[in-house]
Amino acid sequence: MAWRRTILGLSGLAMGLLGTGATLNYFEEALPTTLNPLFAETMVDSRAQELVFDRLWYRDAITNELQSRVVKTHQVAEAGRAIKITLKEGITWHDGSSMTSKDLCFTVKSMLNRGTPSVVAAAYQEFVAGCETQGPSVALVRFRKVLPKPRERLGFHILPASQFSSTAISPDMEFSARPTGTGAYKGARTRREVIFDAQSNTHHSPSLMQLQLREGGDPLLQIRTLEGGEVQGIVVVPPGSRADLRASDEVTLKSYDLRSWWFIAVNTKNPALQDKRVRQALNLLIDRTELREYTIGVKPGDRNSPCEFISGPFVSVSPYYNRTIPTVPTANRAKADALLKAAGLTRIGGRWHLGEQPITLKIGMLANLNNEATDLLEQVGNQLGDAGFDRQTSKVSADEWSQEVVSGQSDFDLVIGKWSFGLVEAVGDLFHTNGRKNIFGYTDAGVDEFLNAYEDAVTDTEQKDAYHKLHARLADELPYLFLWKLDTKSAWRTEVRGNIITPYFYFTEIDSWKVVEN
Amino acid sequence: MMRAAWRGPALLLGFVAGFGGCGSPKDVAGPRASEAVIDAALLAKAWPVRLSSDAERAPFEADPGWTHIFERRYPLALMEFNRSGNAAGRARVHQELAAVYRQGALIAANATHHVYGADRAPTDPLALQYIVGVSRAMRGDAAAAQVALAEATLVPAVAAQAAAWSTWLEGGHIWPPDRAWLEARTGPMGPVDPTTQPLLMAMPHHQLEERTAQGATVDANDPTALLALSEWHLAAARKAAGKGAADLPLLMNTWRLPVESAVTGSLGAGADAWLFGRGALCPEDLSFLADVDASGPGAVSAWADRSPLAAALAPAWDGSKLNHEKVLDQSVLLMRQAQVAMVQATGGEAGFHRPFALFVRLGVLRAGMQVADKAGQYRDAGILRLEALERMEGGKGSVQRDPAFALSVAAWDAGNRSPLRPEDILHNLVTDFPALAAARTPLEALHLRLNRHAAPSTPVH
Repeated sequence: MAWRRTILGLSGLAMGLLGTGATLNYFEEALPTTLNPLFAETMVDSRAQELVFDRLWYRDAITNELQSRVVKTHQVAEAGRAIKITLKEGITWHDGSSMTSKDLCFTVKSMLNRGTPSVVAAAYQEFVAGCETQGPSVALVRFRKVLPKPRERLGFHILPASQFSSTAISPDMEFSARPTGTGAYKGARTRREVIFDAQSNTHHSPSLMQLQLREGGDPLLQIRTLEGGEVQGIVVVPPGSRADLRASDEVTLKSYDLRSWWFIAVNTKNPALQDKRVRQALNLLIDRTELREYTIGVKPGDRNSPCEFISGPFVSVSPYYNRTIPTVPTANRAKADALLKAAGLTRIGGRWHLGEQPITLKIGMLANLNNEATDLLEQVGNQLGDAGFDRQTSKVSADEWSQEVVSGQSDFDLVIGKWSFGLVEAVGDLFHTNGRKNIFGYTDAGVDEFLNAYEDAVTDTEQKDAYHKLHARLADELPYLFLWKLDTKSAWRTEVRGNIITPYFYFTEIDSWKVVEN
Repeated sequence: MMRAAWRGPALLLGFVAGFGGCGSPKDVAGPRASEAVIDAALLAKAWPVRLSSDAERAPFEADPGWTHIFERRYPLALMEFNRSGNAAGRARVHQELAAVYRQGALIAANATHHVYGADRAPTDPLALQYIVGVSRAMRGDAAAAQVALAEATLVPAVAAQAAAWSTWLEGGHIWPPDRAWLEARTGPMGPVDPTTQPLLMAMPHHQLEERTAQGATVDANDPTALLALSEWHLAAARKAAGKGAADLPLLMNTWRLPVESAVTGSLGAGADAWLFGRGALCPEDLSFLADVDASGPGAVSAWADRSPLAAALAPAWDGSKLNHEKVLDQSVLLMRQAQVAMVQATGGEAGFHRPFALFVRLGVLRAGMQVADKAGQYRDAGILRLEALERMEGGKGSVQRDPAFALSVAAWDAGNRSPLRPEDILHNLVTDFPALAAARTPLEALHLRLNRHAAPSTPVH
C-alpha cells in the first residue's frame, strides 16, 4: 500500500510539473473594448481586467471570505469616516516599479476627478471623499459618510500613477490597449486577440505562462476547436451546445454565476413608439416562447430550463424581482391590435401606419448575442413583420454598442441587448432620466421617483419595496420589452485543472489554474 | 418475475430519460479502459455495479416508484409506492424529504444568523430576535440563542414562542425537540401517515414593522416550521420502515443540524432500498462516512479495505491532509472503473451505465468533501462540494437530482454570507417543495443587506 501511494504521489508531482509554463487559449464572446478597469463596458472587459489588475479587496470564490492580495493591514479611522490602509511591500508593477500608497491615492483621485468620464468611478464618487498618503506604504482613504463595512465597498482595481500625467484619465489612451498592472498577467490587445503573459510578483504565482484570448464567433466552430484541443476553453457556451459537451469525456462544463437578463429597448423618442400603448402592443406581439424555442432550443415544459422569462429588470431569483408581475410568454395579436388602434395607428394593406406613413422599425442587436441565441434578431424581426411592421435589422459590434448605442447616439428604434450584474443589481443608470446607460434617453417621473426612493431608502426593505414598485411601473411603461434571463456556462478541457471560476469576475483565482496531461 | 421482465425495458428507459441528452446508449460517453483505482472485489459491492445485472435490478424496475426516486420526483414516487404497497419505498421517500426540510431549516438558520444577528440593524423589528434565537439554537449556540430569545420575549407577537423555546433549551434536552412540541409551535400538520404528505403552515409566518418613520413590512418565517416538517417526514419514514427504522439515524447523519450529535453504526438488512440512487455505494460507505464525522479523517485508513469510497480516497490522504486535487482525479477514475465493471457485468454498454456511474463520482467527491472538512481544510472541502454540485449532470439546473445535497450546499453558502447560489438553488426547488419558501425569505433579506454594503458596480453588456 505504501509503495502504491508513493507511485501515485510521484505521478501527481509529475502532473504538476507539466503544468508549469503551459499556454492557455480560450474563446471569449468578443475582444475586450478596453483593458482599463475604469472604463469596463462589457463582461469581456471585466474578465480580462481581472487578469491584469488587483482589486483592493475581493471575495474568495469558494468561501466568500473578504481578502486582499495587496493590503497588509487596515484600520478604521476618523470614527468610521476613513480607513487607514497599509500596503504589502515588494509588490511591483509590470514595468518593475514598486506599488506604493501613491498609486492607491492616485487611483482614488482619478475616480474623483470629474474629468475622468468613468461610470465605474461615478459610483465611487458617491461615498469616497479623498485619499492621503502617509508614507510609501500607508494611505488614508476618506469617505463622505460613516461606512459600517468599508472594506466591502472598496473593490476597485489599483492603477499605476507613473503611467498617467494627470488624474483625469481618458478611455482612449494607449493604456487601455497595453495596460500596466500588478495582476498575474500583463495584457496586450491586438486587432485579433489579447495576449496575457505571466508576471512574477510577490503576491501572484501563476502556473500558466501565457493566456491567449480569441474572439469566439460561430459557436459550432468554437465547439469543434475545443473538442479538437486547439483551444482549451470557451467562456460562454450556448445552451444548444451544452448537451453534447456534457456527455464528453474531454470537456467539462462549469457554471459561471452571473446574473444576466435580455431585453429589447424601445426608442421612446420615435413618434410611433412614444405612446406606451404601442410599446405594450409590441410587448404582446413578441412570442417569447417561440423565440426561446427557435433561438435557444428550449421547448415549452422543459425541466431545468437555462432560460426563464422575466417581466422586469431583474432576474427572477432576485429579491428585487416583483413576482406579482406576470410574464408574457406568448403573443396576443388581438389585444395588441386593439392597443395599436387605440393609439391612433391604422392598418393599411396589412401594414401599420402612423398618419399616412407606414411604420418601419430599425432593429439592432449586439452582435455576439447571436452566439447564445441564434438568429434572435431575424426571429424578432419576423414576428414584428408578421404583425404588420416593416423593419430593417442590423447587428452591432461591441465597440459600436458601447460608443453609440449605450450612449444614446444610435438611430435604432429597437435594440436587443443583455445586461449582466453581480451581487449589486442597481438599475438606476438604465432607466433614470439622468442615467448614464439610459439607451434612448427614456424619461418618466414615476420611474425616477422609485429610483430616487431606492437611493434614499433608510433600510434594505425600503430599497426592495422601491424596486418592486419600479418593476411594476416599468412592466407597464415598457421602455424595455423584457425577455428572459439566461444561465451562463463555460466549457474547459479536462486537462485544465484548478480552474475555479469566480462569480462575475471569473479569473480572480487564476493563480491556481494549470494545464496537466490527462 | 415475468412482470419485472415485461416492464423492465420501459422502466429502464425511464431511469435514463431523467438525464438530459442520455436518451439512448449511443448518446452517452462510453467507458474508457483504465487501471483499477480500487480493488475490483470492493467495487463489486457498489450498488451501481451490482445493479447493472438485470436480475439484481429487477426489483427496482418492477416498481415505477423507484424510477421516480431516481429522479427525485417524490410525490410521484409516493403515489406509485402507495399503489404497489411498497413500504421500503415509502420510507425512502419520507427519509429524503426529512433531509430536504432539515437542510432547508439550516439555510434559514444560517441566513437569519447573519442578516438579523451578526448584521443586525437598529431599524430591524425586535420580534426578529425570536427567529434569530431559534436559528442560533439550530446552529448549536444555545447561549447566544438565549440572549436573542430573551429580547424577543419583550414583544407580545412572539413572546410565547420565544419563552417556549427558551424553556426547552434550558431543559438540557437532546436534539431535536419532540415532534408534538414542534407542532405546538408551528400548527398541526396532520396525523403521521406514510401514504400522505403533511399540511403546510401558511406563509409568511410573521409580518413585522421596521422601526423607521416609513415602517416598512418585513416578512419573516420561522425555521421551526421546516424542522417540524422534517420531523414529520422522519416519523412517517419510521412508521413505513418498520424494523428498518433503526437505520434512520445513520441515514440522517449527513443531514443533521450542527446542534445534533453524530451517530455511527451500520445499515441492517434491505440496505439497497436506502442506497439505490445515492452516492454512498454500499453499507460500509455509510458507516465509513459516519465514522469520519464521529472520529475524524483518520477513518479513511481504517475503512479503506471495506468501503469503496474510503479506498478511493486513501491515495489522497497522507495521514494529516487530503489532497483535494487527487480526490477530483480519483472521482473520475473510479467512475470509469465502475463503467468498465458495469459493461463486464452487463455484457455490453447500456444507457443506464453513465447515470448509475455518476453516483460513483459524486460519492467520491462528497466523501472527500466530508474528510476535508473534518481535516480542517475548509476551502478544499468547498472546492469538492461545489464540484459535486456541478457534476449533478447539468450543474445548478439539475439540483433536482439530489435536492438534499443541493440544499446542503445552499446552507453552506448561506453560512458563508453568500446568497446568490442559494437563491438559484431554492428557486429551482421551491416549486417542488413549496415549504422551502420559508428559507428563501431570510436568504433574500441577507442579499438585500449585503447589497447595501457591497462595492458598487454598474450594469455591463
